[in-house]
Amino acid sequence: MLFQTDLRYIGMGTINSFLIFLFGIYIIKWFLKKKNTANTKVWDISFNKNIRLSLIWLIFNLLISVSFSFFINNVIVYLLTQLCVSIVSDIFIGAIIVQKLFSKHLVESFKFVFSIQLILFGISIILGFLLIITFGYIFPEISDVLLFIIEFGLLSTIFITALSLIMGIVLGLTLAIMRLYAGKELYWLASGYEKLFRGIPLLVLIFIFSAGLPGIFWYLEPLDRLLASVILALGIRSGAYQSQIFRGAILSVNRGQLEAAQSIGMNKMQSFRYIVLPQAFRIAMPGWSNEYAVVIKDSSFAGAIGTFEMTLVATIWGYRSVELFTLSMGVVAIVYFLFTFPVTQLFGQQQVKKLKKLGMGGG
Amino acid sequence: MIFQANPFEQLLAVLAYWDRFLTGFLLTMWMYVWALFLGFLLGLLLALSRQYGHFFIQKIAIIYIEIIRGTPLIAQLFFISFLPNALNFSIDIMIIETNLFNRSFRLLDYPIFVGILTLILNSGAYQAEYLRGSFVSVGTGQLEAARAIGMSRFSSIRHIVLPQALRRVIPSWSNEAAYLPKYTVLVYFIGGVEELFSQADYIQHRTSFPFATYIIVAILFLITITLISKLLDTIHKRTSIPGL
Amino acid sequence: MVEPLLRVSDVSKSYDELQVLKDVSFDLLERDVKVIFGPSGSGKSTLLRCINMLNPPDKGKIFLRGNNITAPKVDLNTIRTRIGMVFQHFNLFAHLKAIDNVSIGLRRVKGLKKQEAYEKAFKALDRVKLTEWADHYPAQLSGGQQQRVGIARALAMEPDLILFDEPTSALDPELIGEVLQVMLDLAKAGTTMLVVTHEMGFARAVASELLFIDKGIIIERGTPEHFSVSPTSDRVKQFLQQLDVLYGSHEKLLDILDEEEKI
Repeated sequence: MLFQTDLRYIGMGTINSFLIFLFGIYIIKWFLKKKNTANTKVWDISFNKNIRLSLIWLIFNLLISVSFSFFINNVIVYLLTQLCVSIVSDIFIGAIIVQKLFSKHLVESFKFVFSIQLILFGISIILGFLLIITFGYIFPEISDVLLFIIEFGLLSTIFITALSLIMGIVLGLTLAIMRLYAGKELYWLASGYEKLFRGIPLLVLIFIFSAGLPGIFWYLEPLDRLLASVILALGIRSGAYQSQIFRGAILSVNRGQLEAAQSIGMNKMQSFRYIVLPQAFRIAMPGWSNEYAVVIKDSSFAGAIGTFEMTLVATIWGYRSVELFTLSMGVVAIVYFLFTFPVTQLFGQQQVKKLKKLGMGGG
Repeated sequence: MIFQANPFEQLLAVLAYWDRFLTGFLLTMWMYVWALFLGFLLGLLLALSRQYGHFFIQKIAIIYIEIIRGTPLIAQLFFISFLPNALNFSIDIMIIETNLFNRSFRLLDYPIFVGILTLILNSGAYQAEYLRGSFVSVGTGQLEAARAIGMSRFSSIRHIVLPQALRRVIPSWSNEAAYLPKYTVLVYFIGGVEELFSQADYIQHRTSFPFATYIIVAILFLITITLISKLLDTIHKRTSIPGL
Repeated sequence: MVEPLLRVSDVSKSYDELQVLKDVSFDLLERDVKVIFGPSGSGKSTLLRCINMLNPPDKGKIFLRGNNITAPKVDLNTIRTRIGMVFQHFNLFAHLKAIDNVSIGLRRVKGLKKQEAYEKAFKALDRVKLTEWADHYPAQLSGGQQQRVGIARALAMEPDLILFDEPTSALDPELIGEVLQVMLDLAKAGTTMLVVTHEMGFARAVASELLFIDKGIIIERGTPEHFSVSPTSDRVKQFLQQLDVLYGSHEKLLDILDEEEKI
């Protein structure tokens, strides 16, 4: 039947795609490092630059897995279809990426990616079955709470995190620019804002906006009011922290480069837009990924006022018995971990290494 | 019951519960001090084993730190507080109780113990990262120099790296020290701990003036955190070495 | 009387209490190379930064082709496109490849299309012999190569004159040669240059006049021969002697440069 799906397939597809993505990148990287050691440095940096392309690769993969899981309700058939479709899609996109990266001949890169893809799917099929066995048969409760969390809490958590982060970026960038370039009054305003909202516990902020000021979102539905006040509290506080991240990043762009930009005739706006900002964003990346982790973890506070998100959902699931409660908390912790750790690794530690290679970020 | 009252009256009505605010604040600070100092010791242990430890010890420290840093405090809190029940054993925690403002004031019982323990375990991982950062910033050159004049590995870390690292860590560590009082409010979720936020919850239900109540809580935290960071600033200035 | 390309008249500059430049004036003709040298802290770099209006002078006037650029309401950005500057610490844009470093001014300031800007930038990189390194980031280049990219960045804007602020003093000794070689080539091709440097060999090879600055005042000026044969003031003699002790005799350096040229 159309659109009759088991969330398990989506989860498996997601995990599969993620694994393919990570393995793929690291295998290509390892392979090329082995092949031409002389140009390792060049490869690392162009790799960093082309990570956007690889991300498109990942998203494409994800879309395919998720959309296929809507039509199929047999695990084996699902895995086989995913195998065929992903081989085709990945090989095409991967070949284009390889060609773009190393300006090799298309046929050559085609073969290269094809062979990697075969190995990867060997691995992913084994892993897929392992996942089914562990989640489906050995720990039915784990699979149950996992699906429950994903079904009722994941979307809400991601929604809260994304909106608060966006709000935080806008606020943070504005505040950072106010502190660095604007007049004295605005400077005091911005630093006062930072001091204020860094000092108040998030839970207190959430309660002030929801219970203390129930009227601020009068035009929304009652449940949405709570959601909105959580996002407002998280966004306002995140703005105070992101302001510091961006300010540090802007300050760490070498002053000499600004002078150089002026010496070739750029005005202040141009040198900020083309020289400072692109570098500041890169330098801010590690700190920003940390802030992302903080926000996604702190979105769990939303449960305190009854907004649905992963932790509250897990709590509800666990209320049946004490043993299950501990289990559901462990599982939800792992889900958070899967959302934070790869990001802080990829954009945090790896980015720091890459920035060092580019000589950016004050050593 | 909802009745109109101007902000000043609201504040007065809420402030009539000043004894609850005060006891709550004291309990919060009590948990904070334990969490900060024992967390510091745990953090030091973790940072040393991550930076200078044996391969496996290093890996264990990394896994611990990353898991704690990657999961929300609330989940850790719930996990730990229900762990004994799940594993079918019980812990007897001594109850310490005094009288304050004609009401009993608990300094230690099971929920408070769980709260402090979780905060220690959590804060230790964060403090470990700050400490490791300062170990890295001291660099390996001085360690090598100390080994070159015949000091043992332990004593070169103890006498050369540690004194510098502990001084260097103060600015970033004061960040964590200021963070931590804010995170003690989460103990509210366990229930049965009468710290500041639970008291505020009680007061706002009694008075039905949530805004005034939480504003007072916010101001209390602001003052505390500002004082803590000022204090740490002066300590940093006192202990700093020229050129460091 | 030919109108000078650059005329600096009575320029003074002080930071807080400290007077760095005191009534400095000189002219620079088209296709001319002048070298400024002197002990550190004497105000050489400040002079260049005044000419480029990065730090506008307190007093005095600077004329570029007869236009007073120190006057208020002058569009400094257009002036700066006509005065190139090469920095001691290169100041390359760390997030851009060499070719983008050179072409960003053309694209963003002069508004050229990407293709056109790249062609021009490629020509500029060709003049500093770095075309095969165009796809590299600054951190992947050696100091000498970075400085040559810096020179190409200034060249690409097709300025009237280029200011060099101690272009070789942050480089390892074995990398100085390649940068000086590029500067020699530029000088021979008729680029107007104002160079702050202690490389007396380079000065003797191309400069029409040397200015010795100490404590913000031009103490002595003259041809390279004048300085090598009969400097008048004691301060200059002393300074040149110190240079000799540090770098060896400057005739030797000149020899090295000549040899490099032959190769």
